[in-house]
Amino acid sequence: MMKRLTMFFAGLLLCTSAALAQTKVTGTVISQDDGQPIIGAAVKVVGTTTGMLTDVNGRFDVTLPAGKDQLEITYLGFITQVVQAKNGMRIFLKSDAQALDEVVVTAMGISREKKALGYAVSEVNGEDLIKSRGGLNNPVNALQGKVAGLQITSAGGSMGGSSKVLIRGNNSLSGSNQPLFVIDGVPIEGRDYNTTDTQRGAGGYDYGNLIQDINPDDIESVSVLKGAAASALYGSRASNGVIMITTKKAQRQQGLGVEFSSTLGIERVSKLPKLQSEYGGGYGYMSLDGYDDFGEIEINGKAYITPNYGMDESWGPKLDGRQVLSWYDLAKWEANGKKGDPTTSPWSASNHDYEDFFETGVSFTNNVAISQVYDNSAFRISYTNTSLDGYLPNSSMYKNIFNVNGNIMSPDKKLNVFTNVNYFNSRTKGRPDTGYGKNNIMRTFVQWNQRQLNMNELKDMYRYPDGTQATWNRIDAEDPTPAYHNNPYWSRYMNYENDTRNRIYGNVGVSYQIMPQLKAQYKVNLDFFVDKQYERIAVGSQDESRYSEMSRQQYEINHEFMLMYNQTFNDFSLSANLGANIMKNHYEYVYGETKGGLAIPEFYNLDNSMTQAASSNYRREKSINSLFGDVTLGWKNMLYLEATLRGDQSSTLPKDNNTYVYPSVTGSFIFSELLKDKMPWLSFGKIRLGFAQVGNDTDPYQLYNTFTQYTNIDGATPGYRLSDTMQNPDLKPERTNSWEVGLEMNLFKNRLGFDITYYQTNTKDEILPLSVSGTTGYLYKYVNSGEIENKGIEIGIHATPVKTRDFEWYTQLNIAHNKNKVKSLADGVDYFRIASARFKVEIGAMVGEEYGVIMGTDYVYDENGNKMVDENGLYMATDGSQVIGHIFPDFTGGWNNTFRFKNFDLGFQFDFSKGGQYFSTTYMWGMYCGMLEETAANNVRETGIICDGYTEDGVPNTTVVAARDYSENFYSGPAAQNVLKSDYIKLREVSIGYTFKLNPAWFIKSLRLSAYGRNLAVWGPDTKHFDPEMIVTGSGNIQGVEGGATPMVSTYGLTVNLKF
Amino acid sequence: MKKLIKYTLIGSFCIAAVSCSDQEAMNVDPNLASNVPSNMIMNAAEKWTMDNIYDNWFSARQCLVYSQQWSQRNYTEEDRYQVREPQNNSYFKYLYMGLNNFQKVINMNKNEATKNASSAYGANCNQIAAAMIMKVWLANLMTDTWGGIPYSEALRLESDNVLYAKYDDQKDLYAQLIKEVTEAVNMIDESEPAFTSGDVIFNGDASKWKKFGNSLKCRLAIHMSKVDSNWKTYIQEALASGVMKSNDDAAKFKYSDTGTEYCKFYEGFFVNNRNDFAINKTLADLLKGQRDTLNAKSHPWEGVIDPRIHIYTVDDGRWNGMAVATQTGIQARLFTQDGVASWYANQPPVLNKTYAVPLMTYAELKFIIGEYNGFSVEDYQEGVQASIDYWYDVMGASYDANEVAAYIEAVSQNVNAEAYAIQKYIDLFTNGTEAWTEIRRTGYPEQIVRPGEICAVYSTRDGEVPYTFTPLSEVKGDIIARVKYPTDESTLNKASWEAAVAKLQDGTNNYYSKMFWDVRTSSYDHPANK
Repeated sequence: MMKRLTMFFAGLLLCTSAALAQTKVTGTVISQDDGQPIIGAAVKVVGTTTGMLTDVNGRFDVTLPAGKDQLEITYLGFITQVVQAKNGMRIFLKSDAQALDEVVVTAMGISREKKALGYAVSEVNGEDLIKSRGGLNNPVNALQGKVAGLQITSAGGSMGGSSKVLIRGNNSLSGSNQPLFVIDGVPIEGRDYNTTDTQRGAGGYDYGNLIQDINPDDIESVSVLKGAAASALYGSRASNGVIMITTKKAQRQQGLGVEFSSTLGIERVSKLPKLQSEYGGGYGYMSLDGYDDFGEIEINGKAYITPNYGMDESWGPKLDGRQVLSWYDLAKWEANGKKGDPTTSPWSASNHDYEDFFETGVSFTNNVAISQVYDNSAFRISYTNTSLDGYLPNSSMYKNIFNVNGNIMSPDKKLNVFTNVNYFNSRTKGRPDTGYGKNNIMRTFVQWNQRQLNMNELKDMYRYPDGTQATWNRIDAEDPTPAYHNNPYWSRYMNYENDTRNRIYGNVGVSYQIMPQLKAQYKVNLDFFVDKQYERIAVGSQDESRYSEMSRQQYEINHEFMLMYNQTFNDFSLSANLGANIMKNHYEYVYGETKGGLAIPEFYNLDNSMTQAASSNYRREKSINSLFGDVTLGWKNMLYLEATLRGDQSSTLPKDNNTYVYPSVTGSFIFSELLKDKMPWLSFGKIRLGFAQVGNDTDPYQLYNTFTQYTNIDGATPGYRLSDTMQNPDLKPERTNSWEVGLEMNLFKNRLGFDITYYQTNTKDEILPLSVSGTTGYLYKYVNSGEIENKGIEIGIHATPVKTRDFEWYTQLNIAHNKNKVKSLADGVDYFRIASARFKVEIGAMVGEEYGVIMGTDYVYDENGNKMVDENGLYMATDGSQVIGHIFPDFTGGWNNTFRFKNFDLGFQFDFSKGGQYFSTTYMWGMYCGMLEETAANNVRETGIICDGYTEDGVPNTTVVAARDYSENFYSGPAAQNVLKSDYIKLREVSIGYTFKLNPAWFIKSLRLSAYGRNLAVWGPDTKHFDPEMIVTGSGNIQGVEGGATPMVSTYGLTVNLKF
Repeated sequence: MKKLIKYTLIGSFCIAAVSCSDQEAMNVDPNLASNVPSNMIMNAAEKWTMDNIYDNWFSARQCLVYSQQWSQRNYTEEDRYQVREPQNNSYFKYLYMGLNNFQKVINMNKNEATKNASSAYGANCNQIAAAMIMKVWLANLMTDTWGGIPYSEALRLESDNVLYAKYDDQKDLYAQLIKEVTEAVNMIDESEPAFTSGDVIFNGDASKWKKFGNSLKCRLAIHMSKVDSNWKTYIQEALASGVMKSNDDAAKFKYSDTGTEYCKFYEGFFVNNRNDFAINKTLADLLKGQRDTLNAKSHPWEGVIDPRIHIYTVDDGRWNGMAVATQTGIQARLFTQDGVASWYANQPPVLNKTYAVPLMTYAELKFIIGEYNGFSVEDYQEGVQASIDYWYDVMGASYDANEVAAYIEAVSQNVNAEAYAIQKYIDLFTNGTEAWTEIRRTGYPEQIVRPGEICAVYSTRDGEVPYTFTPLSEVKGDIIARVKYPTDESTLNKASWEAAVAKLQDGTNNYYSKMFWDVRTSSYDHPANK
């Protein structure tokens, strides 16, 4: 078979005519840029048809016919040279800057000249990712604002938390919309395993999406394949685009190459909701009648006034400085055995308010990389460690990442064995509880709290000497049991989680150069991780004490076989690839938790359970077998045509429907080739056009109905109930069709350029768990249904307005607009629920609307569009739920600038996002509980407030309502009151650096010092209390619900880079 | 070349084909069972239903506060008739899931394919009957909560792909429930067990299922006593077929203290630590023989202390109740001011892990029969005695027979509709929906605090401030008549929901539209007397 194959490809060769043997010359073709041999360069004897391609060593040997001694060497992206033939000659080719010969890594790791591509690919240099590390949050955030159409949102203050990554909008109603991440050909698990509760703002820890396990120090470049056309070869999982990461490889240089870098980072809370400081804890209704919330208590015959600590709202008495018996006075007195008289404290605004709770986070990142290239092998070994003491008390994170990559070639360099292995280890403690979680300190500080509390006091007395909890929110003056809330310091120091992850990903492969044009390659790619999570609620907390352990592991193996063929002849170039892939994914977890509380305080083991600890396990397997191929034909470096075809067979679909095949066709026309003489100012111009289809399967186990184990109340007969979801044995694969057209131009010797892409993507027959009416007896039913459409435009403009020997200013602006529309759902269905928020609203998809609507009660408007007010003077709410917001933006983009002056460089970047809203639970309860500044501004608590609206009689409302009634209506009235705009402009990063150019002969060859700041400022219509980005608590589709978000942090840092 | 492509493709598909059968096997869910015997489903269906009714949400924050048995100590939204949307959505669908599981038991015993296998766990006819009775019990509770709800078209997703079930008129629904419960009792074969195991309610006793079915038919009949002239016929039929004869026949679901199989009331208090409830002042005062001085109402047997007060709340000798829903905030202060016992600090029996939740008591049946017999003294006294026996037995306590006899004597001075209603109300402790239904049907007890009446007095340094019970939602001056249809239905079953809402009073989804059996024209209109 191999022989046939060889003959087949050989038959395609043009230049094989035998000639009269005269002189034999050998030589090597080398790139002048990096000194690496060029494989596959065409060597032609001038004036004949004799020619050949260079081998893997860049070598050729050619027989010169009599009288011929000139050789013409051509290679794409390099300037063609004609040289005098000499035996043993070394020919250095210069890259052709004019031709924009940029090589990019495309699907399946195939390197392609960018100009030949019929679709949009954006590249980001690895260096840009570590310029401003942005703390340890998530390395992928470094891509924010750098690529048109790549939208990354992340809660800055959530240590190791999730980042929502989206390319060209949402293609899937219920499935993943996250792009596929591929590192050196290894598909990497990038999802998160957060609970639905965490994502919908109901509480739990945001453990972050797993794509954060990449190491930015090892990244050479990132290619963003945006559309289906770019990623068609990757198949189903790439329908949301692909983020391809190429890691650094050993560089050819003298001897051993050693690089070292070290960064010191600082993180500070930069934005907190603005709260009122005029009134303290209590209910406040009575104050209208001249009474207040204070109670009285008698100790040793003396009467004291005590605030109402059982209450977690701030409608209490004005902070007027009178002496009261505070919770702290009481706790100290109790701690002292109730001896003597308690102290008293003034009832006044706190001089250590909640901003004092937050510390300064400090992080260190060190990286060392060693590499060497030998004749037949090359290696690079790198190690990075990072440590962070977070801005929240008792939070820390450590990471160790090893990377080894290298290759060994046979002496004839035909056989190449290569590997790339990453080992990742992280240890985290004290992630913030999110949303409505009982240990989310932001829920306590901003939603349900007493405003006069002093952080120093809370910190000083969070435990009594006997180890039990002391909290402000005691049942009453006599009973220190927590009513609703833990002391925030107790939450942080006693009720913390910790987690670890160990992960190995990488590949081992072998390739064989069968002929100079033809290479065969086999690789096995592995991604394996073990993730452990330990959560605890201490004895003495407001909640029942508990301890749980989650041990989760997953592996995915991809066996990939490829045949790669490349040929150039005359004006034509041909490249073809044929491949097969076998994917197997195995996921499982074992989970255990105590029941009935913990027997022994602060002993965290499942055996320490009051009643038998409970356990559960889960296993999931999936496989996909695939065949794929692509052919690219080029003509005169001007016209290119590429076609791909892929077929998948998935284990998740019914047998009769489990195989699906899909094609793509793209083309590009470099019109500047025709115009280069007439329009010398046009450096480069290209039009691209592409169409692609991608098929998709679903998650396992959606075909047959099952029962869920529910109870063991009868020891002999366990109880099973019908599962919540009705499955569907007739599922068929999903389809995504997309097309795109683009124009790319560079003018004035590349000083100015732009790239515009217009695309449209339609996904049909999506497999989704349709929420069904409860009256069916089920919650969901799996169906193939619906169509979702994304249309959009991406614009990238770059310019170098100033360029002198000493000074250069490079500026780049990218803007993307995406218009999404849910065109249909199942027959007769016009609404699909994604998730319900904890209290008021839900997130869903509605036919005719953009994906991601916020559904809730709206204001009632009269015919003239005025808000209507009821007889009590409060805003009226609609009866049922309506669309009150859209969660995804219309426009996103970034503006990057780099200045270089001699050895100095300076960069800054602004990001922006326009359109889109979110529902803020914090805003709702912050109003309800009298926390936010608005609840006390302009003396409203004394004078009341008038809702701006019209009564049912059609006259303007004049009813004055108490500030508290007005504020409580944020919960009991229309949900729309709590919908905020997520528009923002953000000063994302600023960096400054100086590079010392040292003598290459010295021990230290290069030294660079730099400093950065990240997330420095934000502007927007609704950014008074929040940074709209901080609401993210998951990487999935449940977005747009804020539930007690951790504050945004700014990070600053100093970096030293050394090369030896 | 063609050959080459052919060979390559064939070769590759061979690789793929080898793993094809593996692929199918791989897609069998290893985490969830696909074949389960019918008695295991009955077991889960019973517990699921009880868990979702007798809990801190459906009961404690809803029907128990509407019937003024319990009261919230701090946040009083539900007490003031404003339900939380997410919870309302949840109860609604979870209760339908309960219905669907009972339906599954029925189907497994009816379908030819599964019938034989199912008969190993009890006679097919008896399993079907027991599941039907539970369906009727549950559907009745649901319709008495929301009004007309989908029933005839509900649960038909699997069989007929019905995604949008229309809402039945409540009248038709009642007729259907009468029909089904009659069918069910008639098919029971008392010589065979209903279930060999797994039935927590009656431990598989077919005779008890039959008696429960007939007693339930009496409950449905009495609900319709003012709107359906056949109500007496239904009771006659039930009596002829056989109703509960003693407390031993009562339908209750007893929880367990092993593992986490405990009652949800316990879980709410002691696992989630939501120390949010206390006994309501209305119930506590009725039990204490304390008349309502705030609103100048009488007590039919003032000064007589009900023996059940020792069971229903902390036996501190004061038995003070929590006021009916003042504003949030004031409520917490009243708790201290009025000296209400904390159920958290001192656990009353109702908060035991193993509490047996009552589906229907024998005493309730006695009161129904007594009403059918024209409020007879004999039925009344037997009912009161049965109720006291039942509650002492549930709590594992004993009483002084003389005291109880004296009590029964004291409350039998004037046996009429009011006395009946009050005794039934007391017996229906923690049976919130039924208690609320009876208040709506009869207008008794008069002691229920209506909107606009004084519900509490708050002492301040400058004197006492009376508080008026002010609902947060429009109820037209009466207690809440129904719960709003859940908002989920407005999106997931839109046309049906809209049609159902259009039929409500004023065509809006409100709290004041009356049940079809609620024909009172005012709060104090006592149709039971007519």
